[in-house]
Amino acid sequence: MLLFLPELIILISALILFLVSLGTPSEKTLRNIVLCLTGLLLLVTLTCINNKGTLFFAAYQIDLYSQLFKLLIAAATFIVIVFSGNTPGIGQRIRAEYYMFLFTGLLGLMMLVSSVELLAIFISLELSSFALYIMVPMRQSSGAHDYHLESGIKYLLFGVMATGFMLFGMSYLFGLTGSTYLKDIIPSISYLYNQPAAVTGIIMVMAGFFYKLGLFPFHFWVPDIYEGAANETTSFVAAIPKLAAVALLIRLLAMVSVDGQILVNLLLLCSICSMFYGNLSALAQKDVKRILGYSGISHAGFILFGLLTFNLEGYSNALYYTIGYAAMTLTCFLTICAATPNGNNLKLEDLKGLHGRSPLLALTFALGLFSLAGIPPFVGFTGKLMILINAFKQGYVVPVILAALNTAIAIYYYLSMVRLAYCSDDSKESVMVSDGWSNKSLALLLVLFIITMGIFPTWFLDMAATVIGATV
Amino acid sequence: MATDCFFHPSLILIAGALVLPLIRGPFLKPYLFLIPLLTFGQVVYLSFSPGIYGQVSFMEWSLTFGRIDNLSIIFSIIMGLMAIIGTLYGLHVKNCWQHFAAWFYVAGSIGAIYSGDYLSLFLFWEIMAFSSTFLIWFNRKDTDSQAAGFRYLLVHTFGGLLLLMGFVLRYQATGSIEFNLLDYENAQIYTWLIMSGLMLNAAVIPLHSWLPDAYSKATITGSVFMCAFTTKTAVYTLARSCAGFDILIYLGVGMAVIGIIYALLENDIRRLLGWEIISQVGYMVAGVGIGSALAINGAAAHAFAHILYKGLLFMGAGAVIYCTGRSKLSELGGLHTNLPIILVFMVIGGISVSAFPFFSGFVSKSMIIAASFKAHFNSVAFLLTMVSAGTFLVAGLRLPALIFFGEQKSDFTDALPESKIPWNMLLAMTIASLLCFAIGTYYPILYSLLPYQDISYQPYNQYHLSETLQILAFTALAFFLFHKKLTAVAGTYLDIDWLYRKGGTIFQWLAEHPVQWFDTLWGKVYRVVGLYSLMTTAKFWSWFDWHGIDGLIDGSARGVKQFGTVIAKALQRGQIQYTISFTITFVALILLAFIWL
Amino acid sequence: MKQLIDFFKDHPTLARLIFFGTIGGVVIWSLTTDTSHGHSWVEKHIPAFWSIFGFISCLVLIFFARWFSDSGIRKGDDYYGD
Repeated sequence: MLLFLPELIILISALILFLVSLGTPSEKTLRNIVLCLTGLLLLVTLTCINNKGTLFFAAYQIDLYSQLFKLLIAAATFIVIVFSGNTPGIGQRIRAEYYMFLFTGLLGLMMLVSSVELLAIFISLELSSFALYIMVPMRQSSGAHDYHLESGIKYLLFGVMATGFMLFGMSYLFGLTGSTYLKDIIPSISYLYNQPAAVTGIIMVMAGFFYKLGLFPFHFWVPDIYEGAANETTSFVAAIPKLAAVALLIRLLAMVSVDGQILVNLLLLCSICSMFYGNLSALAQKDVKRILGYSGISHAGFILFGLLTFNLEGYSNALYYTIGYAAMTLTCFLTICAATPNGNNLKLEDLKGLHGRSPLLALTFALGLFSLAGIPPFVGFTGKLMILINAFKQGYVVPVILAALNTAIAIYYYLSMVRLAYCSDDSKESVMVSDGWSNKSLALLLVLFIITMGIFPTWFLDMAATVIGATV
Repeated sequence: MATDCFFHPSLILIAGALVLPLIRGPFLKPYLFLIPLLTFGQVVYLSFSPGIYGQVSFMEWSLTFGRIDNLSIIFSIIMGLMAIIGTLYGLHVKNCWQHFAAWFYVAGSIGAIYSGDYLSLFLFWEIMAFSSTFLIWFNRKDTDSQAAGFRYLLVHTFGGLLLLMGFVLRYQATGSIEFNLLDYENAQIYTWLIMSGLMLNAAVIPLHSWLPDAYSKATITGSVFMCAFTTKTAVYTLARSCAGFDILIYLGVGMAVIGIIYALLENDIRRLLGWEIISQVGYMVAGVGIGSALAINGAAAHAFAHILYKGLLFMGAGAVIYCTGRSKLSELGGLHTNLPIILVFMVIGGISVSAFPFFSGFVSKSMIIAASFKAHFNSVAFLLTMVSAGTFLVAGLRLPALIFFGEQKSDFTDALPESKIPWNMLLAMTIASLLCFAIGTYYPILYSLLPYQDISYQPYNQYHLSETLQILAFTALAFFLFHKKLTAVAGTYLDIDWLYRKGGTIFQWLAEHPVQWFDTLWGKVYRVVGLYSLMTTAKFWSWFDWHGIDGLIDGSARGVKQFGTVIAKALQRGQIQYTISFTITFVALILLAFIWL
Repeated sequence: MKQLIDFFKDHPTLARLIFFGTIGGVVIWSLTTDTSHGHSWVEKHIPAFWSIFGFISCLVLIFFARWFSDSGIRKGDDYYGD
């Protein structure tokens, strides 16, 4: 019971929100309810961090690893909820439902990080995906953007395709090993990992997580969904499913080892392609969320690159980088949400003169982008450095050079956003920025976190190594 | 002395910059003056107690943030000094983010000078590159400054990447990230990578063309900062890691010659001065390449003197642009009546750079030339002397002549009079001029700071004086005879940057076309294949649903309905007595089942 | 300063006289200088070597620069489209 407490809380929260949605709650009540529920969830995940045990015939494992991820997911959600304010992008009529689906998706993600059995993984992944499929088109229609429906369908179609792949792969794995439990599959598959059937199976299973993480070649949904969904939804999609996907990828990658050359090369190719694709495409964009979408693709490539060293150091670097990435992205999305109180998309020109309208938010945005660009001393730099150096030690010379080149390319579009925010005059029709104390303090907190993580990475990396070492 | 209470001067600037946006009103100007002053004070204070400070362990490495020794002291002091002069010069600027960027820039420079390992060096290196980019972007008057900022960023990112790859490879090979003299005898690929990375910032050919481009596009105050820090910090790092690398001698001489040739042609004031920086830094790079104690002393001294007089020249040029709004020599001229004080400052800067006796260039430049004679690089020494004649030709004669004398090529009635120049700009220029003169006259203040104190060098002897005066006199004669050849011609002078200014378009095209094309294509594929097939299958299924499934379902539905009717007819007859009896029967049955089970 | 410049502008002959006088003075002084400290053979054995060197240097630089600029390195002012 206690082991399942965080999930239970979410379930109850979703129910509460369902009940709320039957009535017509005022904007303020709803927001307070959601804030309380998320805050409660955060507290509960924090208290449950040291739980250990298994549930549901050992298909569901609760350990420090899963609990840490749950904590991270809860914290990230809390941040999104706080800065999305009154969710101007979502119509007042369906706001309660929106939150209900958000919690359902959250439930799926939380279950995902604990799942150690293929069907459990599948079910939790679907649970989270279905909620998101619905959340994406739940955007207030306005003249400026009316393709949220299209992007919702797009998201669904790609998701279904990825799921199809994953199920197919799972059936292969089951056929090859006769078990759906990861703990049985991993030792059995390790004899087979150069066999075409096993390679196909593993790749296909990973497809599902590649999709969540937005990795090449399952990334095509990313820019459209980022642009089409409401700013709040995008913030959620950009940061939180990625945490869960990385958690599961680390578990799954135990199936592969450095000896499985075909697989490693294939994954390496995916990672490098992600970086190039994301960074090059981002150069030509005009919409801030779209740029961040493309940058997300390249960052996902980086995370995968860290994982591909198949050692503890690599995994903890990737985890460190993912946490950092979530923090950086949230920092940027905080500014985006704050700069668009009307829920519209943020065009590049809208950034003009941001430093005059809200100095603190402009600074936060700049620091978040600096960090994403990998400029010292922020976490983006430290994370990239660690990943590159570790990969270098493993002898990946050419990929490291390609990755380093990518960081150089990326600097352009990040800095060009900073340039617009700082080096241009205010445009006349620019909207006001909603920078209440909650946004301001949150911005400060996130920036401090990014800097602390960047300057004192040792503690975080040690923690990541301990947590992962106990699991993998 | 104070070994355990090391406080990094960069931190003062960084903290000062972070607080700066909050400072308002009458406190702003004193604050702007105070922070660089404190920084300079801290730098000077630290220079009294050389040693290794600020060692921090970061991951598996030990970082050194405070290596204070003879070489870093002189460079850090001049950087601190220039921070004061530069900020003073820009005191009237309202946009506090300009000061913000400038202070971060200086902090990066001092930090790089103090760092004892590649990682912290890289950290400050990048801070310098990025903050200085903003000094270009802040120039809203020039429409090209945005693009110029991107070009600058492109080049410096590339340089940072070279440095990064170099030191990571070196770490891989040697297991050390200490920033010390590299091994020239057994140079590896990482040695060249590191050297190229540092060279790029020193604007060594062929990695030089970012400099005139960027410095001519920066804001007026921004270019005063930029002309001092990037290249001279790079000279320091080269002196630290690449001293005695022969190749640098030839590159340095090449820089000196090419720089002065372009400066002889150039039409934009600040581009001209930028080319002259390349030329002057060429002396320092050559000095570093010679690597003897005297040569390193010369490079350090020249960097020190150069920062002051070049700062002065850029301040003067900035004042001319401030007043007239023009920066092309072909549009200036005859300004000696409008801006006589600026003329004096520019001439002081010009004769300092030309190594006039009693001015700072005289006591520093000659040291490098003497060192090259001493190391038997006679051709190097002669070439550098030739360039020094050219320097006088450019900065001492051509520049003032074209700005202040001759006919007025534009209408300056709308130009600001000299009295409108803010006092702080004039004060900064006065300080710089006085320092140029002081160093040239009482040279021990400079020489006591030099890294190698056991080398004695005496600039003022009869032979050296006569040599310098002859060169200067005959340069003036040559100018007198051929100044028609040196008039300003409007035009762009091609350089290596052609490769990326024209090549950059290719890159942009690549990003915009094939990649974007693929992305759009994918969207189309999705639309055509995905949606179309979806709709087709949907249609099929809807047909199937209608005709196939529904037949089945409807059949069963009819069955259920009939069954329901039967049940309803059988059970729900509407007659109360039957209903009650049925109910009781059901309850009885349930109860029975419960008891029996 | 302004008066000084205007004074010389009004008296060009005087300015020229001072200019050439200074150059002559420098050359004469250089002939009396002890050149034994010179670094190379040319300095020690050619009288007023640095005068010749300085003058030739300038000619080389000026004419090379001119030739260089005319050899196609100079383009229109808006070559890069700015």
